[in-house]
Amino acid sequence: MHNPPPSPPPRRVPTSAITAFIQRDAINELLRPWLPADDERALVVRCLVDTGPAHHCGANYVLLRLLGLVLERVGGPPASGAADDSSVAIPLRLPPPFADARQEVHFPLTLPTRAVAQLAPRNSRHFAAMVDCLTDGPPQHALANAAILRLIESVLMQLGLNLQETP
Amino acid sequence: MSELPRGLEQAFLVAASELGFCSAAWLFVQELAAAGGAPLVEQLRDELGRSFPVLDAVAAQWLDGLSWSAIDVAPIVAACAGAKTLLVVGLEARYLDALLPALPTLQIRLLRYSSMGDVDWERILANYDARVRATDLGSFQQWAGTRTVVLTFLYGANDHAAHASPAWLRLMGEDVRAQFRSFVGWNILSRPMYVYPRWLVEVPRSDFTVLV
Repeated sequence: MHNPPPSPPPRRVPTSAITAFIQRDAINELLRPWLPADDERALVVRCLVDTGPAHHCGANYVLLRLLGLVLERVGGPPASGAADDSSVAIPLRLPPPFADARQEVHFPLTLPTRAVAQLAPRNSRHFAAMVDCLTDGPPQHALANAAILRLIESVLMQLGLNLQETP
Repeated sequence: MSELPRGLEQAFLVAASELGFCSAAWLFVQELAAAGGAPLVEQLRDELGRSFPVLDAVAAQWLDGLSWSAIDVAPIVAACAGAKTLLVVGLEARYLDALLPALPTLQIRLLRYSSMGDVDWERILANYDARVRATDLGSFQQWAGTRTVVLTFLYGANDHAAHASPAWLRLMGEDVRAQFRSFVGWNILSRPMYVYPRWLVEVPRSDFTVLV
């Protein structure tokens, strides 16, 4: 006779502990180079660390802070980092009848694609699929992807990678 | 006049549904004060205060010597800088009347929702001569965007919570938080309510990106 498998240990971390470590101001400052307008930045910070399941908020915070530390170590955001003609707009998550092409129904933070283009040619299906994966999903996912890619691009640029060229 | 007129409760209910609790309260308090002074305002508070907590608070405010004063709309105007649309949740006519001239280029949308029964929205909107247009719970997201500010009136606030119209709870969902630029709570009651705040709901202060 087999013993039943042991049940998993109960979760010990209360939700309040997850949200307690989030320092919104730190994320706010991290995004300032790409979102200089206070109101726009506040909207993105709210989506990143105030909406959706608590573990997403916590994970977004940890990953962004760590990437921020990496970027700081390599010299901070490059002066030319914000200029990016190839970024992709991320639409607000509205009911389909209300979604349209107006700029104001898109989040102020766009998805940069220069790093993604290092993985697949811009006109390829792979590239299109990658961008689709990165911009899809709830705001806390898509905007975290965009913020993370902003930081990754900046790090790559500071490390000397020419993002204007594709491999 | 030494006694409250008959039918005052019904009259206040109608006025509050078309003007808002605070706006109607100031109107009634001022009229009664002019007719019968502090005794009549005290009587108003005593008889209708528990039914209408905002009226009670406004009457208490007047009895404390705080009369109606000019409305400072500057913080609200500042919160709307760069916006194209203002979505108003809940109605307070005197405050809207003060605010609208200060926001001449904004399009104003008023959420057509009330917890006070059948409200004649056509009559309410007619007061604004097309300056304010209606939207409702099925269509307000049409006005979502990074250039839209959502405004509601608050009836007292502390470090953790504020009292708002139930319309706020109908509108403010987790999805909506990510669909509009900012959420402004305008506290129009300068003293806390003394009686149970029926008609209103307590909402977390964190609902608001700006609290004035």
